Amino acid sequence: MRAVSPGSRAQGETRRTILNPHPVALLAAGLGLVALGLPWLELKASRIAAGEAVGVWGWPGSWGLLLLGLWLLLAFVRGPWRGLLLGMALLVWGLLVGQGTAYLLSNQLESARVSAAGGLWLSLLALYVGYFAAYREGRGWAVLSAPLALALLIGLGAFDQLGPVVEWRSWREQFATELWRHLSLSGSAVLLAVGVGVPLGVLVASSPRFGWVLGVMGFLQTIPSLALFGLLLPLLAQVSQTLRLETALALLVVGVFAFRLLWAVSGGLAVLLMLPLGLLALVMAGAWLHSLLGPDPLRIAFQAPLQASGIRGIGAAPAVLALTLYALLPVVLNVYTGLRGVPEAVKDAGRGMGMSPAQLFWRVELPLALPLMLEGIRGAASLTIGITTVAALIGAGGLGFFILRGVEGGAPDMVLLGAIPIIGLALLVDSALRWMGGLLRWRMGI
Amino acid sequence: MLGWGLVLFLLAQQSIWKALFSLLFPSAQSPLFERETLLNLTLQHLAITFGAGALVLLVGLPLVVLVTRPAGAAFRPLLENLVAVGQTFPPVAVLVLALPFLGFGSSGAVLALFLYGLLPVVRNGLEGLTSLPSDVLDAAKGMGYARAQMLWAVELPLALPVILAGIRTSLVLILATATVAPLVGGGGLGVPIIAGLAVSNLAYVVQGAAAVALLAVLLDWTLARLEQALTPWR
Repeated sequence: MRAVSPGSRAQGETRRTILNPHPVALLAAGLGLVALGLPWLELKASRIAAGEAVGVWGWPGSWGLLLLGLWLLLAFVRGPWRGLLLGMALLVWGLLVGQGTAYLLSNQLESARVSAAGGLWLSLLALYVGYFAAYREGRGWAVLSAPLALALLIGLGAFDQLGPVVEWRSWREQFATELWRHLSLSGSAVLLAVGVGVPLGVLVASSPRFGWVLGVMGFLQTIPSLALFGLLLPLLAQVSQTLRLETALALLVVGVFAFRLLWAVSGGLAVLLMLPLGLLALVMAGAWLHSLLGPDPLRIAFQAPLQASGIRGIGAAPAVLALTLYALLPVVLNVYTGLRGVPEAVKDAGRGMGMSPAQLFWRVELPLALPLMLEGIRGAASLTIGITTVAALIGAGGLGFFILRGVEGGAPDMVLLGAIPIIGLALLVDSALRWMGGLLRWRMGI
Repeated sequence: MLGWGLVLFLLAQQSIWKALFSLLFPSAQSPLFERETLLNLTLQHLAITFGAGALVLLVGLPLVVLVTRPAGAAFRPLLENLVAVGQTFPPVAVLVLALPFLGFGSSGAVLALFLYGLLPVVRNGLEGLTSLPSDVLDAAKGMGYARAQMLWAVELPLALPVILAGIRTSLVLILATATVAPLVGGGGLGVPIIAGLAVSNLAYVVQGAAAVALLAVLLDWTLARLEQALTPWR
């Protein structure tokens, strides 16, 4: 699907010639050429020492010249060829980086490191912009050649000597654990948010009486994540030290019945009184779900404070709770909008066919609202993966661990070791769910 | 206005806070963060927020206007894509990685927050300027409006509610994210939170957290009121 804009029409007219200086490709080439004039790599005596910046012309070999030529070609050449050229540019870029790191590290001590500098980042941005231009013109070539070039570069070990990769080699096991932890923290938060948020959204859509739920969620969203962590900390610390596991479970069971009773009297009062218990249930479910999914062992100890069951003021319990609260808004909001958007005529037709309200919900409303619900889950997931970074500050671990350790130790490569996978994960999950949404729409014929 | 005055006045009352936190956390050795007054931290926080917010407006709005004109239309998908990708970057990482370019202190924090706050403004700006009813635009054209006139007198006012909503989201997001600024040597209300977490003094954490939560809610409310005042026809 491609929107027809004035730009694409102008593009179609110039297709007749071989040369077609597309503005976005021109921008990419411009950025790429500027980058070639900047320092690309930084040689440092150790991982925390100050570095000496080197540009691409600072090491022997003519890959730099080749890249320069490719950028010029890329700007002016037409349509599908751009995708192919982009793959080549990516390949040359990687080889250039590999060659540079190898050259800088020869005759150096074991502790010497090479980090990326401004020019390398700028050229990466240029490649991204170029990929974007090529993808929109003839996606086949760009989609094929760019990943192929990347795979080839990794196979050739072009980045093996680069700072973050060296850091990764020395932290390999910890990295795997923290990655797993990051996934299970954000995964359990999103699962819980979907589990709680979908029924809540259905409830809110069912009657205007529940409009305040959206207000509460919006309010929660405005509270900064670090502040929410901070406010939950003392509260949870207190509860987990005093409340015993069996007492907590008993309270929850009693709470369910009390809620049913109170609901008959006054809905608002029931919610208000049972809200703390709801949060307790959420925090217990979150901590245990995280242990089930993640690398940390599941602990359930009866006749002991909740603390012994892994629910503490710091660590995974407050992290999952806060992340769940954040993820709730996009889920609830989209379920609500989705259900609200079901045309009245369609519902009428269903009723006319003799569907009961339950049938109408399961067979008509829910399927029609599904694409928008999935959109909400996508928003929640990519948001959560990003915020989980902060969880490391309260001792819950995750990839933010490397970022914080890197900040404390003044080692930028270590920060990158945390940051790059987080960005990658967020983009991956985002595009996977986007793809699923597209598939769903296609299956439903929308 | 009254709300802001009241909150700032309250934040300035160190002695009340001290009494309150001594009561809440009797076991803490120093119940109140002493290195800097809460009022100063709040003002620092607001300075960082509005610095980044001003940058977002100065860069974001012209960009949006540019790509919605015929001359810049080719860049529109790219801009949409770049700001969306920019938002997936964890703010802590952006803050730290900007260090070598901007140095230790608040300027790095401002830049990182600027990148972070760009998405809502750009997204809403694009939405506002591209979903205008075409009959209104045609009418304006028929009345002989020049392009610049169209923009000022028709397009921007019609898109204003959506644009303002984006600015509000962006500023609240920036204020919230500015809490991590102390990690790179910036000031603000994150200072007691991070210091408190480091020495496990919960009293510090709660002070910073409560103040920043209060500020976020107050800012959101103020901007909502401002939205209403600027678009009275809604």
